[in-house]
Amino acid sequence: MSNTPVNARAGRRDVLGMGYAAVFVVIGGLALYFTEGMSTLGAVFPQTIATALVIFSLAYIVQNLISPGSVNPPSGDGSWVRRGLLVVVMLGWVLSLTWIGFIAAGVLGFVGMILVGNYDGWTPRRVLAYALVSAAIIGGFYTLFAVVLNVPLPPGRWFQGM
Amino acid sequence: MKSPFMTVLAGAVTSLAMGTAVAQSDFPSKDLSYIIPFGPGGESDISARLQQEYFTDITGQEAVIEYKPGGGGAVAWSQFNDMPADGHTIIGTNLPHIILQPLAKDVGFETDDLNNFYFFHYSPDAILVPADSPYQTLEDLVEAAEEAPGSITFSGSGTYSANHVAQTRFDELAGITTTYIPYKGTGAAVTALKSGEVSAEWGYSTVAANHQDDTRMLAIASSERHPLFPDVPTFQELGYDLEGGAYRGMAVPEGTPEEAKQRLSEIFGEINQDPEFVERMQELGFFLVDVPADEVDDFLAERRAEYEEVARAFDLID
Amino acid sequence: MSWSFLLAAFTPFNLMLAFVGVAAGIIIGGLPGLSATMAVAVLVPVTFGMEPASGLIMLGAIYTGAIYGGAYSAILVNTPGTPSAIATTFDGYPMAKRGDGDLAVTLATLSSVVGGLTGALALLTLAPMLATIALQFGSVEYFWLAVLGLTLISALSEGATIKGFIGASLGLLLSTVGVAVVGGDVRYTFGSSLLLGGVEIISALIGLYCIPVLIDLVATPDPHLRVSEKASGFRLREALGYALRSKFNMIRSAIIGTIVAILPGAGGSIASLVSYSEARRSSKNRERFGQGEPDGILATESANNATVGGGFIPTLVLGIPGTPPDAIILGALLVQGVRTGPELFTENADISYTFIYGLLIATFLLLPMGLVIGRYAFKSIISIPKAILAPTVAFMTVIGTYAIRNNVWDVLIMLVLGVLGWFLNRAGFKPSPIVLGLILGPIAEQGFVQAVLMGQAQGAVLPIFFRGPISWTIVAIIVIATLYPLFAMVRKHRQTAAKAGSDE
Repeated sequence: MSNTPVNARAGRRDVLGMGYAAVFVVIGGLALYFTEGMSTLGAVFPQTIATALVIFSLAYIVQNLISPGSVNPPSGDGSWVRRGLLVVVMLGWVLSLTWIGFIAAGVLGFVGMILVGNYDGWTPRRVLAYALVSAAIIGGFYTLFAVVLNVPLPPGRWFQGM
Repeated sequence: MKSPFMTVLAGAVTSLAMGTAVAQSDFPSKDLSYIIPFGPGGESDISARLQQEYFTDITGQEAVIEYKPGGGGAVAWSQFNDMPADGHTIIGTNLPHIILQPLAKDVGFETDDLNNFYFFHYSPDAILVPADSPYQTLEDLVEAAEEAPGSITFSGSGTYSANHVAQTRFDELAGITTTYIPYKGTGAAVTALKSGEVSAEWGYSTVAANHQDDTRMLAIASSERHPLFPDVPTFQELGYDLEGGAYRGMAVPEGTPEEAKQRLSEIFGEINQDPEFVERMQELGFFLVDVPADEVDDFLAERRAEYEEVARAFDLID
Repeated sequence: MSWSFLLAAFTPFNLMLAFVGVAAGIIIGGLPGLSATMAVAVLVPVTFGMEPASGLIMLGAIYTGAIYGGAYSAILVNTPGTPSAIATTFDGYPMAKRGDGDLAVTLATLSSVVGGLTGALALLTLAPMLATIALQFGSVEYFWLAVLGLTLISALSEGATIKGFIGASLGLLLSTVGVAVVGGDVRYTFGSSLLLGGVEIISALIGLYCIPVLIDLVATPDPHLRVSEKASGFRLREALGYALRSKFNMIRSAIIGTIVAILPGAGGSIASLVSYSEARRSSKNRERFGQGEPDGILATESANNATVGGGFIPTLVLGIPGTPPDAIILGALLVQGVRTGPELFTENADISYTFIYGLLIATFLLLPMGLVIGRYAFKSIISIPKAILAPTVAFMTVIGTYAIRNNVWDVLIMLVLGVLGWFLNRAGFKPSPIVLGLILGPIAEQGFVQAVLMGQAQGAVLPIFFRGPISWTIVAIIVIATLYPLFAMVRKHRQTAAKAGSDE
């Protein structure tokens, strides 16, 4: 990476990066548009930044068109299914927090993540061991936060009976 | 662990069976969650911390302080009515915040959504100058502002805050124009004052109390002189009808039983009478007031009229 | 100063407090989301039953431990445990990846002790003098300081400078979401009260750094970190070797940390970033920074622990908190009836000096305790199977983010930013410039608006931005920092050209 020879620069265009830059041009434009309702003082900073975002993004696109740099294509190794599932599990976890409460959401999320992250075969021994360890970790953190640190963890609206 | 629902149910059954008098002595039956809608270390936090130990003395339960900062308090206030309404959850409320914020913009709550049950003190507005400032009296400062309109700069905490309100009202009363420069919090505002970046600060008597060595208070917006500063005149003595500051109270979520609310009002009223508590609060520069549950509505209506006038000056409302 | 204060600090009770405080602090700091600020806030009520000096010792010990503990998750999971440890991830995680995690932890321990001692000694000996620095910096200077901070991006973005600036702009734009402190505007909330509080910096940190690691963690069955076969134990001798070779780097970083901490509103994250870029600038191995260079860790960890003692300087002398945890400690002192100010060092010398000696003791305790706890943390991370590590880290991100402001929506924002961050990272947009923008945005904006208001009051806006030697100096450094990479590039180009010429 760092020792890429200088003359290897005639590489491929960073199409992915240019795509993102194009999106950022749009975001910057929208950000500028939404400064309309703000007071003069409140608008100065976002306007400056949004303009800078547009300029830098355009500069990146132009630079790539003129002289493509050397770009390492993102490594796509590994399981996309698992990556996707992880995001889904975590999203469900976070969204269910208010409804089913911290503990229930935590247990479900934890189990979901174990399933996503496990590459070994399931033996009764493993199931038991993982169950015990998970219970200990969840219990430990719950005690630390709810009892020791007095954090008001969400109890879950469905269980409050109202 | 007992579920909150069971506790409410048990409480409701008890109060039905034995009447309000007994229920009152039973309440609070567990620790109180006392939400502070700001981060720790500020005046809301400090005054709540001072209440804590007296609350335990009176009720035998703890008042557990929880911070829920964000949006100048708006985040916690806008979510507060979703909290369990059994009387064991309360939140600190601040004036002018809870009146001005909903006036100015959509912050997700209205002033009336907050079910206030007691206002217990305020930090009177005050004008502070550095100890080596050429302005010895309020008149000096007013004269300087008359000579060069806009050139006198005041630091203060935040926009549309108590400090900002005070600056706007005083400019009107004295017929002067000054420049208000908002800082993030009282700490940053007093730093700006000490470093000489601004001519003066719109702060509170509490700031003057904590920085007695290198600042001087020119006037205080309380009804009478503060015991800690017997030599500092009030604005009224100097002929300006300015009285007020940042008031602090407490609210319960919508739907909290009336008895619980009354009992809380009694408990915090009792704390406000404790001579030791009074002394410690005064030592820090606070000014105690007593606005119990039945008087809260009138009190808020009065304040609201005052703040609406200022909000007009801010061009927040027509 | 007399020895009696040292003896007072050495009572068994105070020693116990320092010990427990450091241990609790390390654990809290090591968990992402649990910051030093929160640890101190939670334990404030406990101190009310104690003598002021003992209470302060405990809070100071927790603070010290937490700032140090932040390095663990930075090194082992690429997630800064506290914002002060952001820059520790740059070289710490690459070291851990290649099997030097244990060495990285030991390096962090050594430099944290050096930094902590420097800060505490500055507090002990030079506090009244150094405190005046806090009053030399006004709105204009903070504005320029934030701009200077943004120039660090070229150092942090590993060659892709434009992408770095794009990321920083995104971060700056994100920092404007919510209610503006100055001006009172409600910006970019799109009518939703969920965004009123803005993007919380620590939740953004956890999302941008930790979620991408998690996403890639489950994608393959390979172990999270490689385990080096060549050494076991603390690797203390090896670490000492590095530390001795880089003593100037460590001391310089400690001094930077102390001074930055004295400026209210700057804090440990900026201190460690500045010292990191200084270490990189002056190193012979510049290109190795970001690839697992021990000097990077030595710089950042020395600087952030120096902020503990440094931050107490304006807090105790001026009553102006240097860092967020100091604000809470100041509040605790007020509740106890102890007024800060110069008299704290004269009339109340028993409190202040006993506390400072206590802080020194706590810093010394960091060495053995840090090594042992760090070893344990490292071993757990490498021995836990992936199927347990992934949910545990995820659990910490959820509970940690929630606990910052007790707000569920912060957790959602954290996750969304994390997923976006993963995609951006794949396209070469690194998280560090975004975070830097997020941290520096409010400082830059507030300083700028205040300066403009002040300029308008004086009748001229532009001159105020160049109002004194401090702003001139910072502007000069900004110019140099911006031009230096260009200059270096040109020189490198010439060298390669010359080399190519000689080859022919």
